[in-house]
Amino acid sequence: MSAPSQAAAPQPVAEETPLLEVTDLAVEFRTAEGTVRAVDGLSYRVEAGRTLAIVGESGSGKSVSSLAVMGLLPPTARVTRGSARLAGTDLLALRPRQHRAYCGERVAMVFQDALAALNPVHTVGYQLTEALRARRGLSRADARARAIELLDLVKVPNARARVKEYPHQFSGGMRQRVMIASALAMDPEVLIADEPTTALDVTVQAQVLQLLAEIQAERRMGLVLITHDLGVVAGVADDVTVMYAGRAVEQAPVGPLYAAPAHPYTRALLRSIPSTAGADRGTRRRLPVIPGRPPSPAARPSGCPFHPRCDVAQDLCRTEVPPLTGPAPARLSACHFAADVLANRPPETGGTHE
Amino acid sequence: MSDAAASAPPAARTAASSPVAEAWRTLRRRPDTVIAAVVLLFFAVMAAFPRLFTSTSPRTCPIREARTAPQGWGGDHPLGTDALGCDVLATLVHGVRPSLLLAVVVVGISLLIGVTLGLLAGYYLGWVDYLVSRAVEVFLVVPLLLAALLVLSLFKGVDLGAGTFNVILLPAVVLILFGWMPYARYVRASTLEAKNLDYVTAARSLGASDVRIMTRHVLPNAIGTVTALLPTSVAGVISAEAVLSFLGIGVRPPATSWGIQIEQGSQWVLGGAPHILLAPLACLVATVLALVVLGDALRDALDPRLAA
Repeated sequence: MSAPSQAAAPQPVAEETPLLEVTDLAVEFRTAEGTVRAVDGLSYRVEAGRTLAIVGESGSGKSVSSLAVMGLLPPTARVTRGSARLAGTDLLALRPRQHRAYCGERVAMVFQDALAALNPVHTVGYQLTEALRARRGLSRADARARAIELLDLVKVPNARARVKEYPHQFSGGMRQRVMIASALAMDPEVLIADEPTTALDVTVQAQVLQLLAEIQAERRMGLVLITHDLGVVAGVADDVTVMYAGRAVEQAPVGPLYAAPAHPYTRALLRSIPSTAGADRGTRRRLPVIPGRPPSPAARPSGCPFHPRCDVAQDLCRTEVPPLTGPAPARLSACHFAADVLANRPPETGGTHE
Repeated sequence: MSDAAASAPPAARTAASSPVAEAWRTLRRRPDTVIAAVVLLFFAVMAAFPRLFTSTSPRTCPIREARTAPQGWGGDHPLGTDALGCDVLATLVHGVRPSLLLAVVVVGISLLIGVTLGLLAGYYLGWVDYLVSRAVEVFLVVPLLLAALLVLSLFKGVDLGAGTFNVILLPAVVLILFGWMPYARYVRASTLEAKNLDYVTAARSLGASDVRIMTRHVLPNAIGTVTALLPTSVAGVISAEAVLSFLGIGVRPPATSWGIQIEQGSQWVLGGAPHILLAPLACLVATVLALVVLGDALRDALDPRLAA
């Protein structure tokens, strides 16, 4: 898929006002063991016509942060800090009723498991246009026409006949397309896709991603793509935010990030993508993995949360939390030795880093 | 039952694989279900048009013809007469309406109350759930018959008039008062299950209101178990009415009902006129059995776990 303007955009933080700007977001869960901080000071911005990929392991807070934006957090969770401005309005400060008016209309979400996210007792056509009929008062006939239009938009073949069918009559890929169509029903400006392709097999994944990218380019939507798969990111994203333990550890445009990661975690993730390149050279190498396990949100390590698994960890990392700073233009990395990692040289121990 | 037969013409449309159509197809394959449906239809018609079945009035009771044995079709009294000389068939036919009406009214209103409270409790939890759950428990621990006896005896002297509705009003109120809890419990449990599913979250992400989520997304998925409970509940109410009438506190004479007939007939079983008891008893058993069979089939048809 063509990723528009990916190379021609050295500045991810363009002067343009962002569509969606999340600033210093923190979300806490109340559990039996006390409060657990799932997201801790996350900031990102999405501009019109651009795709931001949020990458991270399970439990890194990537889904929770988007649920917070949508106002879908479970009752045990609470936003403790930060804002999420959609074209200037802070969604997190709105009352639930006002927040709901934004959901669907201006910011919509695509869920991971389309079978579970479609109601088994309603026809696909009904689900696609339920919101339109409820909000805009569309007549039955208009709604049906719109449903067919939406199915055509997401390239479901034979849309006219299929609006009358039920979700279980659709294949996995087609269901995900329906899910996307229902999120697009009210022309939102920002679309949050929470692992939209995890439940699909690889060829269907590619088709769905391509579809998302096409629609996004056509409508100049802001797209937030949440995923744990860096391979998915490369093809469609413009910017990448890598999350670890509830924080953003690296933020950069996708090209530079792949070429030269500025955080040891990103570097380790990129190394652990299997590649067929080495196989024919006969130099069989064991696929590098990141040792250890992601930290439990209830027991985060001191200092840099990644230090127990980091291959360049120094004494400093065990005590000091690294701030998110820019080792190069348009790059942000939460590593004490970001400049060294970026240059791919061993960190200067006891150096004069800020 | 009759409306199930009226809806969904069997393979008229190829796209008829909605849950309702599936359930209908499963139902059709079972002969016992069909028989049960026919039995119920028969009694429903009887309740609606009693004149089709008898031209004799249940109120003409010449005492000299008391306890006439059944004469078979063609005679003046096909099923004989009771202790007062009233025609048994006529009484039977005219007694269907209060029994069935009571059953439908009681089940309908209890369902409405139970489903509403269960849905609210399961969806909002918190203090709403606390109130509903405690109320359910309080009403459940009171034995139905004891409560019914108490309440109906208290109002025994109140005259409410003679219309069909007036006749069943008191028993209906009591049976509703002590009949809504199972629906509330079932719906609350299924609501708890359904409200955390992804499609509910998805609806919320599109900005659906609480009321819309409850009625359009949670309820249709939570109502299945309760639907299967309905025929059995109708059967339960019909027998409960019979019991109350038998005890002299349900539908009161001169209005007729199967319960009253059974009560009067029971005194003559050994007195040479068992037909006075057997005729209404057979009708009662047939109706209740048919409803139970139908409920069973409905449960199988609607419950995906059993269908597999």
